[in-house]
Amino acid sequence: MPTSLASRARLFKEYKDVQREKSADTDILLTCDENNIYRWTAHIKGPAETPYQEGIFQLSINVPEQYPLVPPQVRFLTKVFHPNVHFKTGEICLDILKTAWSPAWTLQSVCRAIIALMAHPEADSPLNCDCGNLLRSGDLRGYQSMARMYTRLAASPNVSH
Amino acid sequence: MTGNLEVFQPRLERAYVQAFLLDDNHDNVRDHRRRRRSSRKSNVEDATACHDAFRRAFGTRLAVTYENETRLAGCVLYYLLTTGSGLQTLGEEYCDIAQVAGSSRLPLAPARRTVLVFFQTVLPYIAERLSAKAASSNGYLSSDTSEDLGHSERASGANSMRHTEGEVSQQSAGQVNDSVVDRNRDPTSPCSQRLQSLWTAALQRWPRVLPGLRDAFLFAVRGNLMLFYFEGVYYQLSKRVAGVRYIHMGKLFYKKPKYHMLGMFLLIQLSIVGGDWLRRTALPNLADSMRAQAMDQNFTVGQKGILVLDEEGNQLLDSSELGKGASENMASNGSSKCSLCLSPRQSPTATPCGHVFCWNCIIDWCNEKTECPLCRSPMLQSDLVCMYNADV
Repeated sequence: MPTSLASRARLFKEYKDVQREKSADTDILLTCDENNIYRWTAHIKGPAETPYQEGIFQLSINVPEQYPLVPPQVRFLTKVFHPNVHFKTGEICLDILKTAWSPAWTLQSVCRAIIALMAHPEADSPLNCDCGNLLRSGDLRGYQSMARMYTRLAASPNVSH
Repeated sequence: MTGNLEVFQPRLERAYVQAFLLDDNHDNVRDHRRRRRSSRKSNVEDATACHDAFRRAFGTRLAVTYENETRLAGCVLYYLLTTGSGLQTLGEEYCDIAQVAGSSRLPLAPARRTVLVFFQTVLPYIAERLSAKAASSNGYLSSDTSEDLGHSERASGANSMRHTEGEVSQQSAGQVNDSVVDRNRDPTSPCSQRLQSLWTAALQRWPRVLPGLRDAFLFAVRGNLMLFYFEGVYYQLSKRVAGVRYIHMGKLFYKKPKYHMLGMFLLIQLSIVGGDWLRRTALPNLADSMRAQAMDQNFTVGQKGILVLDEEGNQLLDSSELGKGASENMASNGSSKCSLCLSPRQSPTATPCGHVFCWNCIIDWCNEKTECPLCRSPMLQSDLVCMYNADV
């Protein structure tokens, strides 16, 4: 009970901060489920100079009650071709969301970390083996074109609307 | 024997100073020291001899049980035979000084001698016994505190008045101050029902009164010493109370030294102590009343905070922060936020790496993982320091 109270209080805090700084960070749009403070949705812009640029990616964030002692569960709702994102489930392989979690992270900063991960794919621990193999074999061009294609197909605002 | 001497050492020093500072005449230092030593020796030896005799006669067990009593008997015997019968003690004889009445400077009348001997021997013993008894019976009595305060008030007043006599005990018994202080309840007065009730009432207040009495006693001792430095007449409180002073009957080798400087220092110290005591006793009342007021205000703030909290999440945080911050008197301005709960820090706690969080937040995290949330440097739960005294 105390933990859920603590997590609730902290999520309210984060919500307030997000509202206040909405205009400050245009790459991330965090919204909270109206009826459930533990369910959030994020829209992030694909980082520039990557195959993901101009794409808008939707993330679902499930916050456990023990938050912030345990990390939130984040996954891509939008299809994304990235070595560290599971192509089917959208699961993200990111250390700070697993073992390296620290309660000093916020939902906002987690989103920022995910944007950084998109810009710097880590091919050595792939969830998407095809993508990882492309990168490990040095076929940067193949990776980029695949990623760009999926961005256009799934994450382009024109397509999604 | 050596043990005894050690016990008596502080007394001996003081007695030596006394002899050295005697107002009328001054003898040479070595003489004083010798006098002191011999008088001390005779006194101690007397008591020890008594004890020894008792031990031989009745066995070690009884001797240990009644050690204080036999020593008392020895002391009484010694003082009765010397001071009591109008003779000098060995030490006094050695130094050519004699006790006279303070006012008339005539040899001591028997009544005054008796009073002095009583102050020097019996009183400390009684005081010690009574305080021990009070301490032991305290447990029972503390439960029924129905006695009216007026009585106990008066009793404690009487106690402090009798204090002056109390100090006497110190010199002659060589006991620790604590026990001496307690002697305030000498049942010298003819016992009546009334005194008995006073006594019970005082017993009940004992734990509260005791520290104060001890302070008062020490204060009185210091005050007496200060007066002694100024006028140079009564070194021991017992002598002051009994009005007994010394005169020197031998040749004068040195000019009488002045000790007004020491007296001034003592005076300064005493006024500081007194001021401090006043501050401590007078100010807490003030502070209490102020705190009560503050509590009232905080209460209303807290109420508001709770109400809003139930209504709407967004505002909740603002007002609950206010409520918490004010009611718990935590130093929580807006800038000092805990990065774990994102609220003003409650019981700020520092990690070895210097990051500060709420106590609860960081303890909870420590149960998950023993590293700093901000810099990931390893730490132990036992390394966390709650900064009770810092303005953070």
